[in-house]
Parts: sequence; structure tokens; C-alpha cells
Amino acid sequence: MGPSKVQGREAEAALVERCRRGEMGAFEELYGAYAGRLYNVACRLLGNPADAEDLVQEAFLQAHRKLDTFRGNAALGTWLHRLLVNLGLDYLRSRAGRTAHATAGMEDVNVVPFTRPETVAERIDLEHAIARLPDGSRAAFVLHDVEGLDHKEVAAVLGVSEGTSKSQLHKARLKLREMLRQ
Amino acid sequence: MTTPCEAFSASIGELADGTLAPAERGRVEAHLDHCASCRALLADLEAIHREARQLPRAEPPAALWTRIAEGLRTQGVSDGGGANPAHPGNTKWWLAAAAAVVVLIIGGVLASQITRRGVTPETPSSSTPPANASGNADATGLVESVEADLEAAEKHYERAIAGLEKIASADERSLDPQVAATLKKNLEIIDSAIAESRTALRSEPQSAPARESLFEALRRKMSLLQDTIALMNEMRKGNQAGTAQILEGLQKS
Amino acid sequence: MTRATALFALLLTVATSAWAQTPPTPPRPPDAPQPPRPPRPPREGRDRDSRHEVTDHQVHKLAIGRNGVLDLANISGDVVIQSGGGDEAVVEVTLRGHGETPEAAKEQLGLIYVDVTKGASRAEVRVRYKEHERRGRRNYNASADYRVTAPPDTRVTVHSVSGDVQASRMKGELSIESVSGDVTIDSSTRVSTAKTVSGDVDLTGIASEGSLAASSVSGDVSARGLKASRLELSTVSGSVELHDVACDTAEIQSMSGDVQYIGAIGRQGRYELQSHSGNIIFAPGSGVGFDVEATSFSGDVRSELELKLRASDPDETWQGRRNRKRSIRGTFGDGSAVVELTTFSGDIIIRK
Repeated sequence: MGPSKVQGREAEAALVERCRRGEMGAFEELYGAYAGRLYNVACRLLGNPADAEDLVQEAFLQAHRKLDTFRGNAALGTWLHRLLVNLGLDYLRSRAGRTAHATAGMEDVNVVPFTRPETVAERIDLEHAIARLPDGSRAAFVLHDVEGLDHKEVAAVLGVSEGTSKSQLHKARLKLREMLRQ
Repeated sequence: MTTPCEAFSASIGELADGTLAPAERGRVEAHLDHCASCRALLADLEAIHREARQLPRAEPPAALWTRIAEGLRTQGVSDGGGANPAHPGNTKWWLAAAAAVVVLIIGGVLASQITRRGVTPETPSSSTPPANASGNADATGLVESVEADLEAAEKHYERAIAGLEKIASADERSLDPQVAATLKKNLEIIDSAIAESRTALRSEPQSAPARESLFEALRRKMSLLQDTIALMNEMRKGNQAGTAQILEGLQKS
Repeated sequence: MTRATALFALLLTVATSAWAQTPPTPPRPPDAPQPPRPPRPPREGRDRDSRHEVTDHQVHKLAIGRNGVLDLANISGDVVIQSGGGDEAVVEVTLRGHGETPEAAKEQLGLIYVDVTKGASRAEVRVRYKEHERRGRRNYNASADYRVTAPPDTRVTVHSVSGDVQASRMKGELSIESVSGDVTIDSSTRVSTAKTVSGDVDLTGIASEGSLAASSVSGDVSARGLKASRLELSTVSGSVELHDVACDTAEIQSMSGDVQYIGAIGRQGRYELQSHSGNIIFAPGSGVGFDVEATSFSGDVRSELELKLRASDPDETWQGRRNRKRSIRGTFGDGSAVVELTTFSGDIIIRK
């Protein structure tokens, strides 16, 4: 999933090594390669650009502090996504009390039998519906369907099994479908 | 109870993804042939998937890297060119020290209040390390970390709140709603002030009034919570039996 | 409910509540009249089901001397304190039980009692709820009103959960804390603490030599005729209004309300007035010189007093392009006192 600027594990390892040595230029390169993706994930995860900026900033600062723990057995992109998503979900949990209304009743959205077999494509307000998903399945959906990570990567980012990632994604899609049909 | 269609639901999802195992594929397609609602589901899931990939993408603002770079200098990344971090002004000093105090007070006072009741605040797995302002001999780092400290202060505060929420779930007795509503409303007012100050600081990062306003609002929030706790302790002194009852209730849960 | 439970629950409710962000109140022009305060709804537990009331009136005469200490605690009900003569404090407590029927009211009355502890120069009077009888009970409908007459020099401490506290003409140190209710003090000389969470603090004719801390969370803090060496006044959503005030040091804060200081300042004094979205009016009428730094992030700053200005920023001089300014640094007279006025989005006016 690494963008074109950082090709392959070897290039990644070299870049990480330079970052570890404290080269600002290397870290800027790392930022350039991943900031766009991480920022988009953050925007959709948190629902607003201001919080997203803070989240991306914190994720990169934390990435820098934790670079020593990056072992190279996961892709750098996955590792960065994982840092960001963990921080984001923590933030959402701590914000949960304050914004309980935003997701109130979401767990009650039932996957009803499909009585109106019409396509939702033309009445899509997807962005809005994504924001109303429960945090966990929103993360899975954003990573897989919006960002295009595969199930293995999503599972690694979320720290869950592939099966769980798949089922969270499926739940998310069914809820989105339900919301979009309303 | 699972209807036949529900049993196919997950497989239809994988079919939409193109990740369904070939062996399964035939079985699902056979079902689709004679089930209109599952065909609609497949169409919808494919549409959602397609639309999701086409959602507009936002560019991170240019200032974001500047902020991160500043934070990195605090963490000890060199510029390569040997550029010196901005020389600290005097006012930043007390802000840094004060921010450290905020962190310590929030982390300490609230945490001790919480643990005294036998409930430990939940610590997020990827928590930010405590602000480096206290007892840190690196003066430059101290001053440079003001913003990080303020953010850390807020995070610590939020963690403390999370701890309180945990206590709350342990005791369901909900009393004196009017005073509770008053406190809630006023904490919201302070939250708005924090948000406003943050926004101001984002648009004018060098603005001393915005910075001080943010810090002041954080301090007020902390102080309101502290006052409430102090008041609570004060009242508790007057009634040992009540305290015992509360503790008993907490230990049971 | 016990006080501890009440307060504990209060904090819990705050912690568990959904904290929706509300936009802050837009700043009012500083000259606009205060909107009238809406009447507070009746307090929980005091005024409902009051078809029948049963009372028990008790008088406790406590010989604690002329300089004794009186410590009062109440859960629900008003407290009124006045100075009297002699060396005896007289604490009259009226316990009230309310209910739908006389029997229910009587049962409620049976739930509370007065606990008096007395030493040679100190007495504590507390209204308590009988624990064993209220176990499992969620609602009580009993309250207690205090009427206290104490020697003027008595040191009085009051802790009240729900109810107004009023003190008048006391000379000993007064410390009053309430959770829900107004705190009103007049014609007294040594007020150290006047605090409430939801209620107003109102001080009239206070000439305290020491420092005075007064605060509310949602109410106003106001004073007319107030002298103290040091003032620490704060509220979150109310305003702080001081008329005819004099002190050496003042730290005054509101979050969304206005802050107004009209009165005298002292040489070498220090005055910090601060609000987030409220306006600040500072009118140091005494003619004492001061050095002022007044800053608003998005509001206007102006002075009716002629200040000798220090340009804080080359582009921002007093005679600048606009008459609207965000900050002023300047000196009035000999500049002996220090004044800091800060608001985020309100206006600041320095008045003659």
C-alpha cells in the first residue's frame, strides 16, 4: 500500500534508518509520502478537518518517538495507519461522552429484510452516512472501501483478525445501505 | 433466527469485493438467480464500494508540516542545516511551567481522587507520554514543548474524565439534576472557550492573547473540576456513613 | 440522600452527561443593560408534594463565648445569620417534613434530626438524615431552616447543599459555601469566603481587612461597597460587578460574563480582570496612577481616560488607522498600580 515515493521494503528501511538518525529531511520525505492518506483517513474517522490535523500531527510525532519499535515486519504504511487509527479511536472514546448524541441509536439500526430492491447509487450521501457509523466499523470501512487497503492490511491496522475485519466491514456496509435507503 | 438471505449476506459482500472464494461463488450466484432482494443487496454494496473509492480527497494544509516540524525539533530532530529553533520569549517560560503544572495537577489530583475510590482511570493503549516539562533539564526542549504540553494537558484531562465516567457507571444513583446540569452547562461554556482559543491559535499561531486565552480556559476547566471535588470532599467529611455507603457500592461493582 | 451522596452523584452526572458543544454567548455591548435574570426553578426536594407540612421547631442555646466558633451544616433549607448580644449563640432550627398526607409528611420529618456538638468555645450544628431509615429510599422531602443569632465576633462557617444563606452584621470571620443557592452578606467586616455553584453571591457593605474569595459557577458575583486587601472573585457563566470597591489586589474572572470594576485602586496595587467572551469595564475613579495592559483577541479596546501610550507594535499605535483597537499599553498618571485587562472576544473600556 506504500505510495510511489517509497518503493519497496528496502527503500522504506533506508528511509526509516535516516529518520532514526534524526534527519529532518528524511522525516519530511516520510511525511510527504503518507500525510495525504493519513489525513484523509483522519478526516473521515473524526469527521472534521481541525481534529484531523491534530490527529495527523500527533500520529507523526508519535511515529517519530516510536520509530525504534518499527521492526520492518509490517509495511511502514500499515504501521503508520495503525498509530493514527489507534490514536483516533482513543480520541473518539474520550470524546464519546461529549458527542454521544452523534451516534445515539446507531446500534439500533437494524438490517431489515430488503423490501425495496432499488439501487442507492443515485441518492448517495455517503460521506454523511460514514460519519454516522459506529467508530470501529467506520475505521474498517474507511480503510478498506475508501482507502483501498486489503483485508490483511485492515486487520493489521486495527489489530484484529482478518475475519473480524471482514465482518466489521460488512456490518458497516449494511448500516450504510440502511442509512442511505432512509 | 437466520433467514436464508441473511446467511448469504456476508458472501454477497465478498462477492461485491471480488474476494469470494471460487468454490463459494457458484452457490451464491445460484441463490442470486432467483432472489431479487439479494441481487439488490449486491448492487447496493457494489455501488457503495464504487462510490467510496470515488469520494473526494482532501489535501492536508501546508501549515500542518510546519507544526509537525516544530514538534519534531522539540523531540530532538536536527534540521540538518543546523538551524536553531526559534529563540524562546520570556512569556513562553511561564506558560511552559504552567502547562506542566496543569498536567501534574490534572494527572495527579484527579487520578488520586479516582484511585482513592478503588477505580483506576482507563489508560488508552497508545497514550501520549507525560509532558516532558517537569524536571526536565533541557531548557530549550521545555520551552519549545509548550504547545505539546498544552495538548498533553488536555489529553490528560480527557483521560481523567474517562476515569470519572468509569466511576459514574459504577454508581447509578443520579441525584440533584439541576446542579449537575449547571455544572455540565458551564463545563460546556469552558469547552467552547477552549475550542475558540484553539481555532484562534491555529489562524494566528503567534498570537499571545489567543495562547493565553487557551491556557486560561484549560486552567479554568481544571479549576472547576478541582473545586467540585474539593467541595465533595468537604461535604463528605460531614457524613462518614454516606461515604462508607458509596465506597461499599463501588467495591461491589 | 446524604450530602456526600448528593455531591458525589452530582459529579457523576456531570461526568456521564453528553457534553455537547454549545456556541458561546455573543458578547453584549458593554453599555447594554443587563437582561433580567429569570427566576430559578424551585429546588428539588423542597417544594414538591407540599400539600401537607409537619414542622418541628428546636432552639439550641450554645454558650460559646464572645469569640467562639460556630460551624453549621445544612442539606436542604435556608440559613439566616444575624449578630446579637451576649456570649451565647442561639440556633433555631425548623425541621420540615412534606407529604401528600399528614402521615407521609410526618414520616418525612422523622427522617431528619439535628446533631449538636458543643465545646467550650466551639459548637457544631448539623442536620442529618437517619441512615438506617432512609436506606433504599431515593427521595426525601424534608428540609431544615436555620435562624441563627450569634455574638458579633463569632467565627461562623456554613456549608449548605441546597438553600440560600444570608448573613448580616457579623464581625467575626465568615466563611459560607453553598452548592445550590444564593449567598448574601451585608454589613460585615471579616468575610473570607462566599461561594456557591448555582446561585448568586451578593455582598453589600463589606469592609474586610484580609482577603476575600467569592465565586459562583453559573451565578453572578456582585458587590456594592466592598473593601478588602485582596479580592479573588470568579464565575463561569455569570458576571462580576463591583461598585464602590477598594482593594490592593484583585483577581477577577468570568468565562462568558462581563467583569466590571468601579471603585478605587491603591498605589502599588495589582488588578487583573479577565473574561473570555464578556466585556470588561474598569473605572478606577480614585485618581491613583496606573500602568495598564488591555488586550482583546477579537473585541475592541478603548479608554476614556487619557493614557500615555506605549506602542506595543509599530503598526498598532493609539492614533492608528482605525479607532478600533485590540490592545492598549499605556500609563495613567504616575503609573504606580498595575492593571491587566484581558478578554478573548469581548470589549474593554477604561472609564473615567
